[in-house]
Amino acid sequence: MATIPASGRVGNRWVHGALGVRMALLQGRRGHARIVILTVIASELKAVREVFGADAEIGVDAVFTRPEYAESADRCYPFIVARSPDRSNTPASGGTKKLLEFYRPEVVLVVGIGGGIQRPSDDPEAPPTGPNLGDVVVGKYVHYAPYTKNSPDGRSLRYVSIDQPAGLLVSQHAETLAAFPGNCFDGMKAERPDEEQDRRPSVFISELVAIESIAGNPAGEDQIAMLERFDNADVVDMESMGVGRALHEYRTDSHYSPRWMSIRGVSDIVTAEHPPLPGPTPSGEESIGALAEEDNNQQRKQWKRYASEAAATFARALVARLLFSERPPSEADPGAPSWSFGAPGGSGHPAVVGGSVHTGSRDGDE
Amino acid sequence: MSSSENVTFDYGLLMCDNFDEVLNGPGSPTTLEALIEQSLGSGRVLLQARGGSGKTTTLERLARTAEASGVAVARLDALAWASAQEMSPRDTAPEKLLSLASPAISNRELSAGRNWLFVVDGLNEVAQSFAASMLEALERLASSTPSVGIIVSDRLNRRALPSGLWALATLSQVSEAQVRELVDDPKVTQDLATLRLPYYLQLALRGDLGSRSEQHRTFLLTHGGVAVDEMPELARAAYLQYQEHGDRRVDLQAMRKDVGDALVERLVVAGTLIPEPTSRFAHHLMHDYLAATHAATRPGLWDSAGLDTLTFKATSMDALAMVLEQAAEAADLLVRQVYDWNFYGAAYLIAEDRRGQRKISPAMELAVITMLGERRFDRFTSTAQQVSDALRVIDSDVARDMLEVETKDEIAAVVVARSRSLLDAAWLDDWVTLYTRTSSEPAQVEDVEILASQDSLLGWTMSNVIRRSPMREAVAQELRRVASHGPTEVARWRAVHALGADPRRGTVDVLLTRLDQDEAIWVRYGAIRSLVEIALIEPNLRQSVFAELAQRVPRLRVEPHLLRELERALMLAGAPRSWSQDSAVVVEQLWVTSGSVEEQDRWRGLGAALRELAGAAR
Repeated sequence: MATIPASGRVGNRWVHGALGVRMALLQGRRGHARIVILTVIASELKAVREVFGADAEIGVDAVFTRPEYAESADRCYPFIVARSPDRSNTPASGGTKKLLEFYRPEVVLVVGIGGGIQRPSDDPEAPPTGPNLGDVVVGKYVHYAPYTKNSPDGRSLRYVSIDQPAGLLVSQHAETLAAFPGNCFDGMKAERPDEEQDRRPSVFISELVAIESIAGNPAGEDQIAMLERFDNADVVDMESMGVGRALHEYRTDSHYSPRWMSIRGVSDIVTAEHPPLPGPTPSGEESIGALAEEDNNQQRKQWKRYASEAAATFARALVARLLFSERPPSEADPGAPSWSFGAPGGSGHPAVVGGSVHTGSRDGDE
Repeated sequence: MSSSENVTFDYGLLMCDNFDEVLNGPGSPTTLEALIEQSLGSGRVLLQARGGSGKTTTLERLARTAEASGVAVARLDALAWASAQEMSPRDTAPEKLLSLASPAISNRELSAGRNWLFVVDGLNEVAQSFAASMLEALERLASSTPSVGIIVSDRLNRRALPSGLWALATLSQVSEAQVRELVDDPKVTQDLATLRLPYYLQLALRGDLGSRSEQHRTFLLTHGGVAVDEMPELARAAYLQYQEHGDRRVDLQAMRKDVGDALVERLVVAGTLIPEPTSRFAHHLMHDYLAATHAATRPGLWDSAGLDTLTFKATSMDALAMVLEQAAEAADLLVRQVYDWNFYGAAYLIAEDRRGQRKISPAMELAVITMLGERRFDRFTSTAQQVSDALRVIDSDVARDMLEVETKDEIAAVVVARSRSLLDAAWLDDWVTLYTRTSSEPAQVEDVEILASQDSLLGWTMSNVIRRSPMREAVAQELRRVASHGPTEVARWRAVHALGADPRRGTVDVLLTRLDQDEAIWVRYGAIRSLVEIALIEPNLRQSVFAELAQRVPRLRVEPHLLRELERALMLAGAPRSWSQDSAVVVEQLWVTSGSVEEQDRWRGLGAALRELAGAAR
């Protein structure tokens, strides 16, 4: 009887995993990662890999971590970075389910860019409220906008069951970090595409609207109506509903409870008001109404690198907090060690001082 | 002739990168150990191979190998799961799979730190709708339980898999050298291709020789507990079981009533009939043979209802080949009848015939394969893909010609060239003349008479010719009349098919009426396709067609076959940029009326695929 290899190449496929006994609870098919960071577009993956030092690929799975962990014999990784197979919710859902199955993480973070939603201020003289280009929005609640019933009287909302971002991640970690971002953004390398070079990203903890197509025409009537409906939301993306859906579907084991959260750097502005808000075009000219689709694309192109890095940088500080403590062992799980980046400052635990904070509801105590 | 005892056949396992490799080769040789490792690494393996190629035996070998390596093994009979589904439909929870397995597994056992191999035999033995649900349930099990590796056996077909994580495998055949070594009896004139299948080689080594049908007959009479005079009665009972259940189950009570207690007892004692856990024949090919035997002498059963019964609505074609073997003198008639029902079925018969007795005339082969070749250029991408698969499987000179042509117009030249050497069929000239009619020549009202004729080849050919010809209102009117009041359901189906090229309001109304009222499922099936086609070619009718289809979603929901066709039909080649938005009203209705969140995901997936299609159109 031939023996079965613990891991290796089978035919033209690379296969990990030993046959026989292994710890079950948090052991995926390819090992275990405490944190999975999911990106979508290339600039997001690039930014996250750079900010996290995730230079090494694990096997040939297009999944990355720091070089010192990539060849780990026990296949236990503090974090891994991966990319969704495509844009939009359905591929993101499939990609997330695959990562949950393969790495059984404690936490999934969606890190990338999104469209910031701006609304007129109560004071007609004041600038619009909401995030600006380059700011970071953490989704504390996800709305799924396209699921509606159309009738002659208009659109009625319909609802899909999803896991919402975990309250503990938001309140204990994201809100604390947002309140005290300190030097969290100091290491950013990307230059702001505008004139405000010294400005650091502000962090918003807010509602997120997931849609199915790029919010490419900020003046589009459907889009404006949709954003009016979700009047507390600050950011639009195309994947968060899919990720929340994947986690919801994964709730089949009472002993395994992964959590998730979405972190979006604002790469372009969409508006939620009639008539569309005035604002500057990428070339700096004042525009009556929001940007046309082409201008919006141009804006996103200009800002996506900076916005990706802002989101990744915030995520890095957040991951450092999440991995600050070890996961204690139990009968069904060997546990996992604490972990720190080791830089900047050497402690691995991000220092937090000062900064700008936006949490809670637009109706409440910002 | 060697004895079958202690002979290990030298067929092997092959890993495949995609369905093209599963269907056409070559695949990469692998081992039992490596396939088990693959199943634990990727979670899911689909092992597809022809009937009789050793799938069940291979699964058992995999199970034993895994057990010897310390991996726990659970076995599941797909048919048992399907039977349980009938009692509690929509229960696709992974726990249901686990509870029906042998041994039954609890979630606690799965979490106990051990790896499990879950082998599922006979996905091909359950109805199409159950098979899709079962794959969904297995996907959920693999996704939620990384300690489980799943291997499922199935027939050769391009399955829609629930995720991209499924690894594909197939089985090679027994080598020619081993067959020749084992079957060295000059009396054996059986075709080598069949003997390279382990099931038939095994029968041959037991002395059951001849065509597949003859092998089964000899087996049943010599080892299976059946007397000669009992055979017709047993064949009829086997056919009725298919008719009743639509899968491989055998209702023992009904069987006892049909053939008597004594015969049933003998079948059980001989191992021909397996009473537990789900009653069935020892091999599905045995049941296919018996049902085919009943149908072979009754051309009246070669209509769409009879052929649906034999093949579980065109999902498993093995029985068709055995009808052909037993009705060789009527081979062309059978092909015509089968073509009227399902052109993949006709292609399958030609492929099987070319491997064996060659009873189908070359003229018939040319005509059928040509019609298949034309479908390579179908707007419906799933049809074009399936046709290309079928042509590769046939692998004859004409089939290769059809795979090589780059435009539909080139087919006529192939037909003219190939038909010159065929003098054996009086009807061929008429067919060639009709098929090669130029697309600029307007269709005539008299053409519709040919379309509605008894001759399936001329009728379908005319349906396609009319579709590519300029169509006057008078012709369209006649087509609508035949679609509504045609003498046979197949005449109505052909008319409905042709009307897909007539983007007029009156045609849309007729097609909607057919969809609502026609008793024949294939006419309703054709109406869906033609309506979607009209929505594609006439932007002014698009919105209303989709609105009408959306209204009918609740009714379509009770007919999975039609719902699946609607899903496939929306994925059209050449769809405009606005297609996903235009068809959203249908997808939305499918979504809103979904009975489960999993079904919602199915339609959300369709919406995403349509948006991707629209993106590609940019």
